[in-house]
Amino acid sequence: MDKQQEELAALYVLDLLSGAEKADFEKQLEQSTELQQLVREFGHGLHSPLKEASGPRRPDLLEGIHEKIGINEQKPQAAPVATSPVPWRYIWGVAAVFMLMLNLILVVVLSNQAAVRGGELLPETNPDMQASLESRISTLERELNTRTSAMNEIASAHKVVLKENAEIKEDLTEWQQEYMEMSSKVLPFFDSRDGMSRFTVIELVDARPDTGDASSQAYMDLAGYFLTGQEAKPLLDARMAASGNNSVEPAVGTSKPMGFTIWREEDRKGFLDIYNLPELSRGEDYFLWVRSSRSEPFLPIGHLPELHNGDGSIFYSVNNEDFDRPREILITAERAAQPGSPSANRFLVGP
Amino acid sequence: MSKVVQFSREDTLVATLIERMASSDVAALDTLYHLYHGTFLRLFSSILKDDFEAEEVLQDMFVKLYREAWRYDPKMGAPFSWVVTIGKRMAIDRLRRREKRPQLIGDQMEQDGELADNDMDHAENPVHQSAELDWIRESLRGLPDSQREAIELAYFQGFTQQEIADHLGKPLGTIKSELRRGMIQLRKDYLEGNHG
Repeated sequence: MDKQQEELAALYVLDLLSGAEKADFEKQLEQSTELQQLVREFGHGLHSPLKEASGPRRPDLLEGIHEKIGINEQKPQAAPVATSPVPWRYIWGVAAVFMLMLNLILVVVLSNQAAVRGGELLPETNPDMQASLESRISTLERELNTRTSAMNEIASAHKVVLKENAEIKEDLTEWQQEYMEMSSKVLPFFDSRDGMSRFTVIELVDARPDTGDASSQAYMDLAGYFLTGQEAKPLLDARMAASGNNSVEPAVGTSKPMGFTIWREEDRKGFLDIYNLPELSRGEDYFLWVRSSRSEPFLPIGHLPELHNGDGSIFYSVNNEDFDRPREILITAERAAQPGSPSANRFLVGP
Repeated sequence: MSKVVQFSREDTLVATLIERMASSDVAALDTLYHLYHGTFLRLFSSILKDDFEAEEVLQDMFVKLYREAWRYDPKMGAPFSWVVTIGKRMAIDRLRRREKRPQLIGDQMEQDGELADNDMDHAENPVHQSAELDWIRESLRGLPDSQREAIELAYFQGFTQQEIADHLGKPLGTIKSELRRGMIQLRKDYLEGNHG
């Protein structure tokens, strides 16, 4: 290939040829595969950096292109619509049929040659793109499976949480029922204070929210104390001291002897909690008595064990099959080991 | 039907898309758009220095490609080169129309500095000195200055052969020779895999 052809090829690729010069060169190009190859390679050399460069992604602009070409446009403008009189349509029709048949024949003839056909190019000659698409589809499928799996796990976890919530609710209901049963068994055995008995305290706590004030806290502490038998007095003393509010002094915060009992029906045992019993004279012990009704005599239960500063908690049972449940309780000071009846030295009686 | 030989896979795909566009296949247009619109948007932004105009030229280019796809002949060059030539020509036409456009006084005052810069660029180095062009000028860096300048003037400014000669103050024959040698070197780099 001579220098002049190389020069023309270079100018052609750089779009520097025009008019007759360009037309002449294209004629040469049409006839020379060598020149075609050179032009192609010049084009690659000049444009390949551009092909490799990436730019901003603007898929939204495609819609404007569609609008400009017309969404229903079926034919390129290069094929203008014929405006000939009617007879020309028949002529064009015949020509079209003829060209179609000619094309079919050419297709059959050329099918055995190695020519590359446009319709076959994409699937057969672009395996990289196809592989890339398949890889992308596989990735998306894997991602979908992962997300589906995660959703299933979340659904399972949700079911477990719902089940646990139901169990907690059931436990709570059982606890509330148990609480109510225990509350009904609390037997106050001392005189009410300002019109409020221990039952009243529990009902108040159960019926109204904790307001945070000292009296409310005191009632709650009392309720908890009733049910658990835990030592509440130090806590109450500290709380009342901190609040400086002595207007509602809880019973257990006073120095007056007091106590309560809870009867456990299932094992026929009673729980007794007492406070502020004074020290007894030497040789005397506190003795517990109970009875089912006021019409009956007190039944002797036994001596109370050693108390701590007048406070103590004990369990007791009644060895009498006819005994229903304690409805009145009495604590006396006795010298005898097995007193037959309560002495007059009474410290607590109730309710 | 034209016989296409020794195209790369990408060029073969592009040739197929152009052929399908010639049959009014909008899907082929969409594929071609998604393949190259970012590249051309960047090129047009580099040439026009105006993103909005670059977007307009991009849309016009794809409309033109769709409507004139039937004109493409594989014998006349690789399909990507054909696409680049059409797009670049449209961008440079837009650039020249804009430079000839009468301007309001306010616009004129506003752009005095810019125009002065442009004039200076044309006087000293007409190719925009912007960083945006570095990515493609990089590929030309291996060329001697005389070859590189001539190719840049043709490629980015759309100068004619005579304009390049006038601008560089060299005889037309020398310019043609510089362009030929520059293109041969780029071709060699490409074939040896040294491009980009």
